[in-house]
Amino acid sequence: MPDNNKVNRRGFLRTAAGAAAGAMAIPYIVPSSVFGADGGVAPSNRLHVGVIGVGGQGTWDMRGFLDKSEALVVAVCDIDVKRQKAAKAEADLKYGNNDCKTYLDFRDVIGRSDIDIIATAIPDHWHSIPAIMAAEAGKDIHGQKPLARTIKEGRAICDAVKRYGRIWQTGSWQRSVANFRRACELVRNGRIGKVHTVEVGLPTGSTRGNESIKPVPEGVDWDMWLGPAPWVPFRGVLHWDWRWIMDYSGGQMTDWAGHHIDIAHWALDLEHTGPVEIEGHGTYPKDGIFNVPYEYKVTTKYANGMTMIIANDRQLPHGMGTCWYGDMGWLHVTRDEPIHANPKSVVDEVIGPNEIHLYESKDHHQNFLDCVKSRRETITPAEVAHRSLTPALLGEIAMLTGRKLKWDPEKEVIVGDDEANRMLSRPMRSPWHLYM
Amino acid sequence: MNRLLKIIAVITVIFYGGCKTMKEKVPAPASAAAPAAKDAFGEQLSKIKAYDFDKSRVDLIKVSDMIREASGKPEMKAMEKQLDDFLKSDASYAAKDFVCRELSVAGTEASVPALASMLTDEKVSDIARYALERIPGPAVDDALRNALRKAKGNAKIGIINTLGVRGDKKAVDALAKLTNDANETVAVAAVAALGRIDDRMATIAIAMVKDKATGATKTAALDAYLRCADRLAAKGQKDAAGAIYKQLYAAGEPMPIRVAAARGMIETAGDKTAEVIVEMLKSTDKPIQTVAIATLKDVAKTDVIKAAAEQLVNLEAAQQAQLVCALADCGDKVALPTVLAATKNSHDYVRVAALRAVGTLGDVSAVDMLVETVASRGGEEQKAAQESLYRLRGPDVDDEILKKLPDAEPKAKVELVRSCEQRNIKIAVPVLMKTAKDADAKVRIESIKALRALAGPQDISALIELQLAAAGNDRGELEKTVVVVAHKTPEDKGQSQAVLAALPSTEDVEAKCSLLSVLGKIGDEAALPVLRDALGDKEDKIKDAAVRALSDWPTAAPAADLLKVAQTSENQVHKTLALRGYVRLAGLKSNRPAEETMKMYKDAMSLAADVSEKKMVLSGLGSTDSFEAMEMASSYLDDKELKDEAEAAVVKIAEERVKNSPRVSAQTRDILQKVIDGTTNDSVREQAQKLLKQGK
Repeated sequence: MPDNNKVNRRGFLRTAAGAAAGAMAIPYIVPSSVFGADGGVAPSNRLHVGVIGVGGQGTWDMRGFLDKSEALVVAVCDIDVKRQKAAKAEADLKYGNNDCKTYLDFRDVIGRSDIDIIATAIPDHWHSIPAIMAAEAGKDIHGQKPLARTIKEGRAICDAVKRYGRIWQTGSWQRSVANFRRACELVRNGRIGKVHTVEVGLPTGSTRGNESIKPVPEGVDWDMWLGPAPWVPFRGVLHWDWRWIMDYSGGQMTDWAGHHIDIAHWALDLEHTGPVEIEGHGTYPKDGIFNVPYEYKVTTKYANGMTMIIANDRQLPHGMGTCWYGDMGWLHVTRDEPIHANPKSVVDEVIGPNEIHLYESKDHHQNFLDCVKSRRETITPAEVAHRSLTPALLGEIAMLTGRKLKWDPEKEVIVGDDEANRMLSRPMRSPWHLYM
Repeated sequence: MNRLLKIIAVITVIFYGGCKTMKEKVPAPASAAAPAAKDAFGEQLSKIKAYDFDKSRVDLIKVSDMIREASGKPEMKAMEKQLDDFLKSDASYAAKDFVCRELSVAGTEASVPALASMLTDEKVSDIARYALERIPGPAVDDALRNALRKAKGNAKIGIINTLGVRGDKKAVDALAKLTNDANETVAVAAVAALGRIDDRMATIAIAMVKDKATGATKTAALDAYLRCADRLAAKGQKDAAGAIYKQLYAAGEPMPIRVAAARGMIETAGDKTAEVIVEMLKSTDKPIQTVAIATLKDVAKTDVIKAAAEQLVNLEAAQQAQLVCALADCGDKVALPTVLAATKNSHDYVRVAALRAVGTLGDVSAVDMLVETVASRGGEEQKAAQESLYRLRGPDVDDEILKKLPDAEPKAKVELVRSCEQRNIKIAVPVLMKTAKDADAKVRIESIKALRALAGPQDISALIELQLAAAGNDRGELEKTVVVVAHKTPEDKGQSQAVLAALPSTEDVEAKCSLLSVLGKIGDEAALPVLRDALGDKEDKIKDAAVRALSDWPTAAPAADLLKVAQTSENQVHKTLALRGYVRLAGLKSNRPAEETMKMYKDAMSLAADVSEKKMVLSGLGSTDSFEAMEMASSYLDDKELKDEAEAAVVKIAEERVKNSPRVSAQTRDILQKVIDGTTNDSVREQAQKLLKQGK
């Protein structure tokens, strides 16, 4: 049974008030490393970064900022004290001081008026609330993919980022890798003709048996970890393995949507729309603590008649990655491999200056920092992340209902299916709600 | 902790579930149409009554499947009634949680009484709300409003949140009252909920709260008021929205709110957008200047962009750089004069931003300036000008570059040649053929590299002429260019034809060697007889070139020729070169039987004259996927001089074999164990141990 007195109400209010009342830290001084030649950045001009969630991905992001001379990681936050300490030690070692502060409650980090940037790498069910709070507090945000756990939460993040004029970058770093951009430019410029089908191969999931109820590990705030998700007792799933439980994630399909579906959309100029029809089938664990499908195949249709198939890699001829099929050939791109195409000569085609050239970023974290200073849109803004994730979240609903869905990408509603529409959002456990 | 939770659960079930059960009447059959289905469902439901979070989900999944199967069918009505009754039973918390989740998708207003009865109990309120929040219909709203009056603590806050999510207009009065609640968390939730309700009275209530509230409630009211304005703007009520934005833009409000309001003001300003943006650019508050700059792209009207561009000179350098970037993103050429002027700014980062913007907004008139900047500046400015030169759009830009190229100064010429390559100007080939003979070495090399990208099969004879006439580094670069361009010819159309045609009339030995080298790299079968003949040439240099060319061959076709040279040549250099080439060819992917490959390595090993050549053979052997190869490599494990290479080869072969088939034979195990026992290299030992563990 849940203990509903555990939420720290005092902290809740203190930080909510403190965040918006604080001075807004837009970086007015544009260091020469951004636009100029010298590269040196005075400490007073550094962008202060608070990292919320310092597990594997969050630590990777933190290192991305530690490596940049214009960023200064001043705060790390995690519901696991061990992880806080490890992240602090790494930041302090880098800077040769003891200045990085640790926090258990993300609201205390957002409440700091000296912080310019909030970087979040937390379980998916937690993505929306801190992001919206950070936007309201005037922070720029680097948020990990997938953008949110539900379509309505994703839309709320986009709206808040736009409303408060914030810079947002999603951790869809593949866009900052030359190979992926090049593949997208080749497809966008018609080198394989008119695309009729795109296959998106994502990892296969996994299963696990039932788990006994266990004591919460020392130094872990379990109630805070659950946050807006329904209460359940601790069963040993804390870091990473939450990925396979539906309350917190949609599994590999929603996790990787921000990579390979994102790339598929980028090449086809579909970044601001979505499919109009979705159907799918998933193989769900027959028992055990994990409950997201480990095998899945979702077929979507777009208004232009194109088909996108999203499936775990074992069900697609090219496996992982994105493969576009056009009326003049096909082209496949994935990580750590050269671009493959038919005809082969497509790979060496030059894109001329009068053709379409896509947004270029050579370093994902640097692109974010540059945009924080220039106030330009990043290579992976919130709206794009929202649209990259939508086909996967709709696929999840199609698999759960077992029905073919019709989607209105403009209004963002499922047409004529009341039950399916209910799954566009999730009720949040009290006292959490989107606009804290 | 675990035990305590269980005790609480039992007490709750006894008190809550038990009381409810006593009050219940025996339910009448809801549908006579499907009694069998109902009974089966009831039976399945009874199996999950004692479910807890650590138990098997098999029976839960069966219930889910039955509900999904009944979706939209008449029997669902009776099943929903059974689910409602289940909530009133003494079932466990975990089981009720599961049922609430099912009702959140399949439930109707019929479930409201059962769910509503749970709303005021803090322990089960959340799970009841999980279902109710998603169920459509006014009965749900009525139930939530009724419960709001009685609920306390987190249950009350949850109900407030759900009323907000549902946008219940009838809840406005009650929520407005709660904005004064002594408990600030309740007040904040009420304000936030009002902000989600599309209702005039809700907006008025928020306006009143924002003026009198303090702390977190005030913050929530300001955010909620912004959301009201956004909603009005989205509905086309721009005047009403604009009025709210103007209030929130006032100097006393927190800066994040002012920034958001400024954005709203710009977006709802209509004909006065330019005026509003200019006013904001003149603000002394930099965040306001910045949001005006960042919003420019969303407005994208020529008069607005022009007005903003005119303000550039009045801004501080950082905002100038931001505005230049924004002007580039707008893509309107009206800003070009401002951007060009900014390329002469006194701040380097403004100049760099402007040079980059020229690449987006500029046209043919910018070619001179960019070329001059690339040739005369360094660092980021040079890079920015270079990139813009490559990106500059317009049909006449390429012509202008070609026109300027022949008479340009060497530094500028180099940049113009690079531009030809980067811009893919195919018609530049004749000009580049000439600049490939330029007096300046850098111009020549850049031209040869550009030809690699731009020349086609029709140009190959001219390129060969250049190759034969060139010397030193130029000839080396031209050889690479000829190979790349030859490969652009379809395989069945004779990729080496032009080179073969040039060979008989080429008398100069160095030039002949250069052609032979190119033939080896092209790898066209038609050239093999010519290279074989050249092995018997009287000139040592020609022989040498032929051995090297055959060693470069892309398949193992000339392996026998190289073996023969290695076995019979009297020239030690040729012997060594041929052996190296032979080992390389043995390692290329091929469909020949494994025994033949093994024979190749054995032959090579027998010819290896010293330790370095033996090491080379072992290194090649490591990429052979066969047990015989591993056995051969293992035979050198006791050789002090070859031990390291032998160990590496064994592990590499074993890795490949385990990857393809996890079963490891006893003989392989013995070999790996020998590596583990004998090696002094920790990494090799670890790899071998890992392989033994992996292999079943």
